[in-house]
Amino acid sequence: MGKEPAKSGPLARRPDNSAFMQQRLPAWSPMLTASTVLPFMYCMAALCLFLGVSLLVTVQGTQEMKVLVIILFGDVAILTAVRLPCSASVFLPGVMLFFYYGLQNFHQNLRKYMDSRDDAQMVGRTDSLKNPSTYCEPYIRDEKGLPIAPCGAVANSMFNDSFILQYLGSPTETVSLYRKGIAWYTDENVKFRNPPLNNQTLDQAFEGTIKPPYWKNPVYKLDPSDPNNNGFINEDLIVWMREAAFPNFKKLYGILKRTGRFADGLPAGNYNVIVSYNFPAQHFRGRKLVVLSTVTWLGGQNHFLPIAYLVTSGLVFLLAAALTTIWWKFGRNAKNLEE
Amino acid sequence: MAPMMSTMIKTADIGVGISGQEGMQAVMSSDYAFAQFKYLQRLLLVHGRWSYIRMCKFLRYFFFKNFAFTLVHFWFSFFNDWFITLYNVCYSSLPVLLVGLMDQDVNDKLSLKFPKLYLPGQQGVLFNFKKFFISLFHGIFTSLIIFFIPYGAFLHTMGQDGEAPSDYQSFAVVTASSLIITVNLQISLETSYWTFVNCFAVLCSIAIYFGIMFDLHSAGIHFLSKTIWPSVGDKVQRNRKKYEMEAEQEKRPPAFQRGGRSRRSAYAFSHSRGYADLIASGRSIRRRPTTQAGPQDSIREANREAENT
Repeated sequence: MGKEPAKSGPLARRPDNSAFMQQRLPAWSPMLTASTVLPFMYCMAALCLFLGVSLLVTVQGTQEMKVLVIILFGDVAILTAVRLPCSASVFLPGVMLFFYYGLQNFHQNLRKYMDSRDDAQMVGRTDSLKNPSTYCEPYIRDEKGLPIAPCGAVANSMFNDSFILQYLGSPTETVSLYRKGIAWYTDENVKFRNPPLNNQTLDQAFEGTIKPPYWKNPVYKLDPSDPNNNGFINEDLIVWMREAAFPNFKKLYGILKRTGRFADGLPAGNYNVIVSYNFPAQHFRGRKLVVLSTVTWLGGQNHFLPIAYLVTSGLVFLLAAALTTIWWKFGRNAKNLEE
Repeated sequence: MAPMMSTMIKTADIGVGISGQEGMQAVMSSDYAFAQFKYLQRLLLVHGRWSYIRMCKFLRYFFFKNFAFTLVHFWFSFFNDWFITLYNVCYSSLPVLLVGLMDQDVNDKLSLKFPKLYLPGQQGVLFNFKKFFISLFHGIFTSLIIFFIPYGAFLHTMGQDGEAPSDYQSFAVVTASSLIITVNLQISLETSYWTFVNCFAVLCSIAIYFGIMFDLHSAGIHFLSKTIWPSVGDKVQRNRKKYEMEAEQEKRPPAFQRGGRSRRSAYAFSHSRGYADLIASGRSIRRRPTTQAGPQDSIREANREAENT
């Protein structure tokens, strides 16, 4: 069996004399003395200071403009006189300019809401297309029993406003935006796939399913201008399906196309943002925003991290200074270490 | 006489002093003091007993209540969120377990040489209410930092291609990763005896966390969910061999066995080697369809037969 036969005699039950059993494993015992700890703390303070200052400088190089969207006339809200600050503002060659829509007080992080989706359906499985998972209740089937594609509350509440940015120069010109390439690479190419076509058209592939109740168009007609942006791979749908962590969030709508007058960014002047107001924010007492922003390697305008680093650096430095004083006055001669 | 008596009183669990003609020395160093020896009866049999019963009830209920609360979270995590279970089992338990087994602040020779090092244990210096609350506040402070710094950093920021990293998945991954790394760094700071296994445990915990996280967040979730919640088909497939064996068994008529395979009384069994070997070798579970044991004459023969197989 497993154990060796016990030795006889008085030493029969002695435990092993191995290093592990006798607590004699080879080990390193670190000794924290002032000469190692204090320089380390000063280095940390310097590092945090350096990071904080460089981040602050980087963040100062971004620009962001936020506009609140208020419903004005029926379905179409026009915000005129969105005046971009004139000086060196958005004239940045080579830097991408992003157009975001923002929502406030919309909790995409509610647990039941987040569970209410079927990823198998949206990766293109035909069996899940016709039989959505029960997590999508109550947005699984409509009254006639047809399965909903895409099912679930997340897809059902998709943001369906559209925005047009107009430059009020002479003549008034619409700023064109890239509406593809706005989702994550893995989302676009791996996580969301249309059901296999098998020589059918897209609407035939979705035969036997029905659109979610809050939608105007079925999923294969989401983008009339680009036939490749329909079905589950529609980028607006993908961007929406990636749930935000907080109730106030921004999602990417489009990227500036640098053509013609806008080759160097947005020139200073007056702009219109025309909003087709479909998403009813007043039902959840939320607000909508339109945000235009440039980004750097750090990201958009966010002063939190540089300030956090500077504060940490200050605190560590103070602590190190306090410890140095204590060491200088009391511990230097190592008198109290004698015994 | 009196100094020795007060030392004895101080070192006892309960020191009782009787005030009287020999002075108040004993009274001053005791927990309880009274005037006559006969009051000791009431102290012990009534108050002492009640105190013991009360404390035991309190502690038992306290542990029961806390386990009930904590394990509710634990069971929830099987159905929803693996992180809660895995955190306490895989990601943060191994390093602290090794510290609990093997930590040495000073090696054995020095411990023998300087007996004064024993004093902190006697005085209860290293763990008391104050230290407990310090740990508690340290944990609270750490949790605030781990949550609110990613919160502030992610709330309004954008990635390089414009996508917001403030989605649920990114935020959760960053927060959880920083938590795991922080607690493992903290145990590293507290370890004062670094053996190879300690180092391995710390690095392994972090590595296991990232490994499991990558698996859960990728298409590998399908594999994991099949192991944990198998469909009916999967179950049949996995137990296929067992079903085949059972089918074979049914074909053979059961032979009449007189004494059973190994007849041992539980008394003899528990006094020889106990159940550990039996369970570990799997003999008690595995079926052996062919051997048929004959009647056992004595318990020693049964033991020997069991040992030899």
